[in-house]
Amino acid sequence: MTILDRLLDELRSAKGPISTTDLARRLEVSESTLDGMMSVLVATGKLKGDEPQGDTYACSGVACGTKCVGLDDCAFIVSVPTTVHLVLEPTAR
Amino acid sequence: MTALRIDYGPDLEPAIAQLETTIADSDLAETYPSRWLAIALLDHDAGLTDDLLASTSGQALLDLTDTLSTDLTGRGVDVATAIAGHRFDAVHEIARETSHGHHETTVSTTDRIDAVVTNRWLGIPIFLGLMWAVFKITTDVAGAFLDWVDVTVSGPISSLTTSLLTAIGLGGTWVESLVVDGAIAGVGAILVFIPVLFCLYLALAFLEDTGYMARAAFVMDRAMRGIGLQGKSFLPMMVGFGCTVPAVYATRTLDNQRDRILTTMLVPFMSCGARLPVYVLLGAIFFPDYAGLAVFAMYLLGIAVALVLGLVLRRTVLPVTKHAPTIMEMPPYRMPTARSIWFHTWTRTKAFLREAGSIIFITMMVVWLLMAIPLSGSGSFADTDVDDSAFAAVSGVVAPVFEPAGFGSWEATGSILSGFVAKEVVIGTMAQAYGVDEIDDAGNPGSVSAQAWSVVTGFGQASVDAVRAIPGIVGINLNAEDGEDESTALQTSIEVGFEQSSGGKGALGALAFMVFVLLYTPCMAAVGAIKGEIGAKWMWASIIGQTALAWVMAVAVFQIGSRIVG
Repeated sequence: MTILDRLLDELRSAKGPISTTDLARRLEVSESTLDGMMSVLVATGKLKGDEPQGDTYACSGVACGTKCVGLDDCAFIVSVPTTVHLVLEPTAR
Repeated sequence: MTALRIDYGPDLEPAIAQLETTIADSDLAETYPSRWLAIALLDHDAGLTDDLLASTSGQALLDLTDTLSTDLTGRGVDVATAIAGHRFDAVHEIARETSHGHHETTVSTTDRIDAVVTNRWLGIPIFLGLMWAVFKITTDVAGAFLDWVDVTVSGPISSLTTSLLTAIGLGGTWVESLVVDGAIAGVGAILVFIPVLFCLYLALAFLEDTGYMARAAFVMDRAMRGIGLQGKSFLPMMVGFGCTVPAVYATRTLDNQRDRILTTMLVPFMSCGARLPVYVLLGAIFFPDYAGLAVFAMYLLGIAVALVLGLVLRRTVLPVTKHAPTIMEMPPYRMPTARSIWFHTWTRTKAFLREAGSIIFITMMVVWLLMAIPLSGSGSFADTDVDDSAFAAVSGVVAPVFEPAGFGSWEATGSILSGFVAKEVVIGTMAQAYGVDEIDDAGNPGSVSAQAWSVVTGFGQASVDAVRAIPGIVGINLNAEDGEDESTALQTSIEVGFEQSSGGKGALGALAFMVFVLLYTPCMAAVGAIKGEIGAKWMWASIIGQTALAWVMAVAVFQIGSRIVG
């Protein structure tokens, strides 16, 4: 079992979300190494990065409705943490 | 120097060896190291294909690679992941052997805080504690400024406006009624709560800028998964504490339609800032010693109802889909800057003010117009008892529906009806419907300079009171010696109104009213957003379903409460 398999196993057996800090600790690697491992797994289709990542925003309907183009006009901002999820294998019927 | 040779394990090594043998016997052996090429072929290195096809043995080699890859895949081996995994193992092993003395993981301040804040058992209580502190700050600290704005609007601003209109010959006319009773009493009653909203937005901006909100989504993931949602769904809900409309748009951050629909249906139960003034006002009137707790309870009730409704929807019309396990990257904690907090707070407050100056102003004018038109009695336009007005007549038709909930008066009903336009209007309509002339209560307003001075000194006193209220968040009451706050004429009028409509159980009627305002149909703008995002069918479900649920809950609160209280 490689370290990437261990990463996937940790994720499969998790009962909730795992933070990158916690996962790196469990695999005994640095967070930057974990980042590289996750990139490989995203490239091979085992993981998928959620969109949008990082900061995104939504604005007040009266102030700017759906045409929110700049932070200056957006009253309410939702900051979405960067998330990556496991690509589930299709279950056999 | 020895070349690094990575062992690719019992699954891959036989395939690599077979390819190596074939390559060694081909014309490609002179161009490429055979092991390197074998691994690159199994790894589907697209850059090699053209070169291989140009060679005489290239096609045969590619065919063999396909056969071996298919065989490995059939045995459940993901070749690309396995190759990368063995390489990471090798690098990891080298790093372990060569970095003596650096094996101990550095524990940062963020890690230490996260160990507590995102703890499986402590996470949610800490989240609830922080939210309680937010609403305690909102009600207690902002309360002092609320009184100051109230006194300023109903005192100096109203009296100076009246004086000005009298000076230009409009005193006692419908214009004076429109400006003083309509604009100032209506919109002014909403603006009074700006300090409350400012404090709420300030506290939320502080939590956002520290990086805590991402942790809130993390710790709420378990609760969210219980209703078939993911932790990320909690973020639009947090936005919903500010305003439902952007929260509905924020559901676009969710990656499947079912989650978007379910989250959008639950977002309106997160009590928006526009409903806050209703809780603060009724809390101050009927639960003066527990106003902060009453406000917090409303927010908690909204979350609880959303969770229960989520469970119901999950088991009925929106069956759960399996959510994939997630890795979340938490941003590091930051010390928020004053500039950033101010930016977020002011932008949100500005949006509220902009709304107050547009749709709310127009609605308040319409409400005033309906209250100015007499349908009975001997009054004339703009000079009639509000009980005889068109507004009272229309609201009075619907009012009996709310009698089982203890607030079946036309004043409370009219406030609820107008609240469909915007929830801010509820409090503005109450100010007009329970109409009292506060200028008269203030007595002689005095000179302009005296009033200006009273505004300045009032602000100073409010600032002192606000600072003294801060220790109250942790239970230390420095304002205790001030005794009971004096109720305003509006508060007294509302208290009397609820006592009458509830048969002497004013507090229960007010609580039922607060529950109804919390749960009933979202405002017009939010309804439009829901229609735009998830369609008309769900929009109607939201309008009808929420209003029905609000009525049932309000009736339950009043009826069960009445039996308990006796």
